[in-house]
Amino acid sequence: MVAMPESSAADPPPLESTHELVDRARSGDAAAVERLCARYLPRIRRWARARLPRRSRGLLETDDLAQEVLLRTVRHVDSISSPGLAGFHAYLRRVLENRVRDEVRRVDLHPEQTDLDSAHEDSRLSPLEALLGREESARYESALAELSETDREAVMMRIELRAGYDEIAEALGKGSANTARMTVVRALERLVEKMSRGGLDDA
Amino acid sequence: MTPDPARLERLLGLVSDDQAIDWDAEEASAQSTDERRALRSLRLVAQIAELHDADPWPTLAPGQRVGRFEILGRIGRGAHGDVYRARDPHLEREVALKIFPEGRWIDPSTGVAVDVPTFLAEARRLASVRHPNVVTIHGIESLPLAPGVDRPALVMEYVAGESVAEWIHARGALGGTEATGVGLELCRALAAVHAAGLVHQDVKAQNVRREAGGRIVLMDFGPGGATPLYMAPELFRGARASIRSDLYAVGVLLFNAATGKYPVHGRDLESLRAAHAAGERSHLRDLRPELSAALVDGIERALSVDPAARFASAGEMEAALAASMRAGTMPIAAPTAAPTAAPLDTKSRPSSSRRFAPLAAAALCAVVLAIVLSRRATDESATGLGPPPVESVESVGSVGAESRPFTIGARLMRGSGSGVQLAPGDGVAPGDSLSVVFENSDSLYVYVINEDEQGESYLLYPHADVTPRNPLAPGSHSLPGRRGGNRVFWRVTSAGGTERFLLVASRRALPSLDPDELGLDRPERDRVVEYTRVPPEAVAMLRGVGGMVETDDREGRSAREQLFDLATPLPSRSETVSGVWMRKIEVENPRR
Repeated sequence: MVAMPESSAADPPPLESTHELVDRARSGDAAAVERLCARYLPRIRRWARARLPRRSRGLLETDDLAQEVLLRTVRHVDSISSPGLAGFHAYLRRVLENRVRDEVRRVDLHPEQTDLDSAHEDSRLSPLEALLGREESARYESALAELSETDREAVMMRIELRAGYDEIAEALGKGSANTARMTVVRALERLVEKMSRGGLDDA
Repeated sequence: MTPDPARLERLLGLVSDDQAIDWDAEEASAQSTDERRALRSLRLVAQIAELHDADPWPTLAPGQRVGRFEILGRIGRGAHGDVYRARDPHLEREVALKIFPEGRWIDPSTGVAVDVPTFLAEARRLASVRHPNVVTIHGIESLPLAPGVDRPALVMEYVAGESVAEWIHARGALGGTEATGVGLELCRALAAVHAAGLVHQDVKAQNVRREAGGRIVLMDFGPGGATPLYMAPELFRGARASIRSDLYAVGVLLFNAATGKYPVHGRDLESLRAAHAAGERSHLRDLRPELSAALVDGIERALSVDPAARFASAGEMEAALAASMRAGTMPIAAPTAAPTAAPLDTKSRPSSSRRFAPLAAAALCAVVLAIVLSRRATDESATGLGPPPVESVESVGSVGAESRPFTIGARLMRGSGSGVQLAPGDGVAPGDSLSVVFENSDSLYVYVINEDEQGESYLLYPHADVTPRNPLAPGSHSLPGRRGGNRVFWRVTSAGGTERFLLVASRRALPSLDPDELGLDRPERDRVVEYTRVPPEAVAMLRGVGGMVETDDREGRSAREQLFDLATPLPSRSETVSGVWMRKIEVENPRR
């Protein structure tokens, strides 16, 4: 792909803790930026695939989008206000959400296939929406947004990024994987409480 | 009453640890509404986690074997399953495999669960219909997608080509003759379906394919029933689908094919229902005043609100359409590739540059066709077979009578300074800056298109944000040029194998290649690249115009490849040509 005017790509291996990498990336270490990309790309890809309308993009293009989002986040890593991984994740999620929203808007506006010309192939829905319905996925997203930063980070890492407890412990500054697990469980409890308050009429 | 804390704690732990839970049993034993709500929410969270575990839409790769079938590529993807093109080595033929999820699937637009076995039973009945305009069902098989994972699949005839929806989208509304032709074959298909005691229930442009040779094939008996925009008014009131509601859908399809619009429109199901109730609709005559009375009457009769006022059978409708054709008062269809014949709904179109894609494809086809025609003309005059078919070239709409020769040379350059000239096969890498230097003797419209090995293509020039603009004055120009006083370049942003550049120049504007000419919005500042995927339907368009293009068997080659086939390699020196100049150069970008 050829584009104009900026940016370049990256794809090398991991080793250091993510925390360390984010800190080094902040201080302008190019190798750290590359390693962050390598570490996050597969996750972002899955995250994006779950949220992009099916019609929107082929798998290769989803990869491009994931890469673009990651690069944009990493490029701004030094301007992220809150420190550490939580700030990085929050920023990443925001960039990704914006990018996905653009894409959803584009698909919603697409001229040929209006709402109604496709009864059982509604490719405007993302897999997440197809699974939960638009309303319920919105309920999840808004409950998540209401959580404290730590809770949100715990849920996002465990449920969406599928991180292990070790990695969560490191990211959240918990002493052990076990403590991290308890943090996740409590965060899930608060999430579920907020989601349940939101409705589910047919319960 | 709040949820039982011990139970909730146990389930929270299980979800967090990714352990399996029998949710139906848990929900069934909930003691209160609150508890049930909490369980439902937690179940949703568990589902979200699962969704993030894997590629939510696993794809079978080309070359992969599933059962006895060899996958050749994916040709469709719907909520109810993927459709693959595959080879059946036993019978040595290509087939389409529609692979269903197991058990039940939830229709995402209606939330209605459909039993796959029920649908498969219908497919079995469809298999009894044998007709050239109805897709042939070879059988239903259980395919081992992975160890222990078998999925039901419909094995169907592979119909090369495109859906009528894609066809209309790529080329604009159909002329009367073409629309009638589609209608005739569709009626024949439905006559066969109805004769087998079946009602199709989901006739729509997406479910009708147009083979490369022009045959129309009715596909897909969908589960879950009709598509709202194609639904007859009585179906909104709860009536059962019937022969006459199928014929109403044919009317909608032909209306759409002729106008790009729907007779009854609504933003959602409710407003559509309300429009039907209020009798609000568009009339074909208002949108296409030049169509013959017989054709308009035929389509409007199919669209009657009262089912009894419609045609009684597909055969009756076919006879009416045939008579309209014999009446011979219809204007001849516009040239296939002419982008001006695209009166699609401008109201609902986005002002985004994305709408440019199909037009660009159409224009490319026009250019290619013109070149093929002029070559043929030259060949034929050289062999004394007759004069060049100048009228045909003009009718294509993109190249003109202005055939005065011009001289042009071009170089692909790497680097942001004065740059290094790239020769075919040279390497480029992510981060490289590229430009093209044109030297032209006359004022010319030039276009630069890039396509990578992944099949993604982009119109790199012209671009609304940069100068110089088309037409380029005689002289030397480095493109893309300047933006806000600064020189800009195309940047290689990702690895992608072979990068191919198509360079086009002409004395006349090729309007559908020029966003300014199209009156498109200016793209966002950083979205300088126009995304212009060349769709597979371009292949059919190339083949479909009066048999004037080469007819070698090019099955399996993409539209993009075929277009590039027709451009000649970029020479190192200037050359003098007339008409449309189209050259290509390939450089190597490392593979991902």
